[in-house]
Amino acid sequence: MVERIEDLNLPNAVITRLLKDALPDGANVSKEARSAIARAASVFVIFLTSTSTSLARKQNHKTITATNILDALKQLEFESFIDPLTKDLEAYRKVVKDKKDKAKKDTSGTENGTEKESENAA
Amino acid sequence: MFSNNNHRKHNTIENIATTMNANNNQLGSSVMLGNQTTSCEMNPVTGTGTTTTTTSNTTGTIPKEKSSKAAKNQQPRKPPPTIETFWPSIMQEVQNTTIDAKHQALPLARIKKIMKLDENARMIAAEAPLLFAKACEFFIQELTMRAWIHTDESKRRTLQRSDIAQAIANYDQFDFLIDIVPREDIKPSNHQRKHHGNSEGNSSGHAKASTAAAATQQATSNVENPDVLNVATAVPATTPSNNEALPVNATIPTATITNSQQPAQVLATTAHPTQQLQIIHQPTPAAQTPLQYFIALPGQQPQLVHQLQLQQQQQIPNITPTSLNVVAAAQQPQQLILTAANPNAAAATAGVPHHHHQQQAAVFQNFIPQQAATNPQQHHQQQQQQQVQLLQQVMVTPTGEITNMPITINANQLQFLRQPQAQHQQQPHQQQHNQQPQQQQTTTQASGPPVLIPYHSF
Repeated sequence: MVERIEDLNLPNAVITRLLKDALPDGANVSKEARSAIARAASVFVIFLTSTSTSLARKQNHKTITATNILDALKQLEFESFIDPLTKDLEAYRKVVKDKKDKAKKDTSGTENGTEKESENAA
Repeated sequence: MFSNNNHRKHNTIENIATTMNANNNQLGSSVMLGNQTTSCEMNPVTGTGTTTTTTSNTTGTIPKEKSSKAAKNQQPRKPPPTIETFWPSIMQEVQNTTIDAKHQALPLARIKKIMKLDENARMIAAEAPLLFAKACEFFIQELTMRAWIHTDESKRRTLQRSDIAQAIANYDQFDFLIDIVPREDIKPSNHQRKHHGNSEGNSSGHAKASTAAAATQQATSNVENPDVLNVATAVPATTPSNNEALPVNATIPTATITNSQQPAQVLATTAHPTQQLQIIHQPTPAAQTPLQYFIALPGQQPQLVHQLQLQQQQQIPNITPTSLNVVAAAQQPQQLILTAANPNAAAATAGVPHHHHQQQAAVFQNFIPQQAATNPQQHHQQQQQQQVQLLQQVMVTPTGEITNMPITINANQLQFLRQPQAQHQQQPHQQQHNQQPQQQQTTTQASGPPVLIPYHSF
């Protein structure tokens, strides 16, 4: 499933960009710090996954839904994430819905896999 | 800031364009740049600006989308699309289908892979990786900014790993990362705080233990579940002293044995008024042989009986009834059976009067019919073994040593043990108990399946 441990790291370039976004101009980031943050991010994903999984299980759901994740964030005291994430989610759902409508109109069959996935999720 | 965002979007657009087998990257990216610069309003501090950019992007591109849609619809029919219609259509498609991917630099597949590490996470909604990616972005930026605070404090311009460790240590949200990014240099303030917390916990635990011990020593009849368990755990670790009886006190320090006046005293306490706790001290004749303790909680017994059994030993004429549940003083008792039962929370006997072999024999004989089989044992130990077998928990080798020491407590009895000991009351007329008829009564009434906790001390 996971061939190498590096497969579980988030891409370095992305991390670097995010760091640059978060830091003021002229700030440098040491390599160690970057890798530590990348690792922390991976662990955060695992941590959040585990929490939301247990929340989903509590409701006898097998699928981790967006609600579970938001609840998990709340439980983990990352409440500040919830609002922007909710907005993002709404935007995403809106886009998906628009695309669905568009696909219905067009019936062009150009939908890709991600769209199908999101439809299933919705 | 601006350039960063532009660069990022530029990258994503380029990637998408390449995946679409387009050759004109330059054109496409330049067009994209023209659109993007208007909507890059990302807030680096909160990391929440991305949502606004998405909305502004979508709204800003709506008019173009219609035209591009028309162009796109024409594409399949016109195999060679003109350069003017092709790229706007591609651009729009990219903007529509990958709204997430545009802001969403973290790869969803990777995130999903990480999520799948959790075996319980079998099914994941399509939105989940998206949310995770977003949350991860926020998380990374928040962690970075909190770490930067420490960088700034030390007047540095390079974010070091120690800053991250410090940030993690300083914010409760990041507690789960403490082991992920361990800190080499521990700030004194944090260290003190943690240490303080630890010491507090320790001291409280100590206080609890001490108070519990004091309570047991004073009340002598109150046995709490932990105490009983302590007895169970402490006894097997004990080493036999020269005298078989002496280790009893020494080996159960945490237990509620309180009578230290007599060289060999075993305290048996009742956890429940209707329960009988029975500790059998069964040393083998040889001094070096391991001691055997049995704690039995047979079912309801109406009366409290303290029974001291001294085989092969002459009983001590005076046994001081200092503590209620304590019994049994013998200078060299090779067998010590202590039985305490609280009769409906009514009475508990403190001192144990003299016991005779005859009494024990009677008790054992009462047990014998209930027993299924007896191990071939040496003379006087047979009785003990019979009782052991009655309790069905001990396996004895021909040499008389206990080879198996299972500790089994019925659920009901465990429950009883856990019940508060307030029910256990001392009664003034304790000493009146513990007569032979009562012992026989108890033995006969122990018809319920008794639970035996054998203890084996070396």
